[in-house]
Amino acid sequence: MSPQSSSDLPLMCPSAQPEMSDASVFGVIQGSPSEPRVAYLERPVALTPEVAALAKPVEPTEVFRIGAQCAGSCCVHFGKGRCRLATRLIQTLPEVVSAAPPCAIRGTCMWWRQEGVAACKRCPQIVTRMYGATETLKDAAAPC
Amino acid sequence: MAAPRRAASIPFDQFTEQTLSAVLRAVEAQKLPQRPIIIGIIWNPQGLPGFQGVGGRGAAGKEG
Repeated sequence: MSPQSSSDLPLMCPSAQPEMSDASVFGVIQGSPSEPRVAYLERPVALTPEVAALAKPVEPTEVFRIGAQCAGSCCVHFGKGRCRLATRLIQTLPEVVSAAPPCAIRGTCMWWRQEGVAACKRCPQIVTRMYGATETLKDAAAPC
Repeated sequence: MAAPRRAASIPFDQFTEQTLSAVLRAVEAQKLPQRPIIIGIIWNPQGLPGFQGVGGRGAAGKEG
């Protein structure tokens, strides 16, 4: 059996929902309440019910960054084969790190595949379910 | 402008400990005045059949 290269694998959304069947945790939110920052896991952790329970009493999407297969046209941000959310994020948000994070899902990440390292340098400021978002983040996250 | 920093990484054996810290951060974040937003997958009700929509609380980006 030959090894599967990352380009053969389905693209993953790096800001997915925990209920998705192939969801895995690749980052944990650190930083402060008003300035969160993702810390990246050495390797993804399958988002089992037991792992999701670690986030109680808050939502897993407030604690983890979750990757799962890109939902394509089932997601409001997808259009013309592209993730419009990723495009808006790199157009409007500042870089928050000087080099791409040590991310375990980069090889299959939709945002990276589409936008390159520009997405990676903005990724650590993203919390999937975010309180205290700036107006810029609200604008970027709004479906168009 | 402050110089950008390197992103942090977490060794696998610190996952549970760091998650606990993240939960405490999230509890504090819920005290911030604004409603939460979703930055990520938002299910499209007009999307292809086969995917089931996922319930979730929070506004989808900017309201109004």
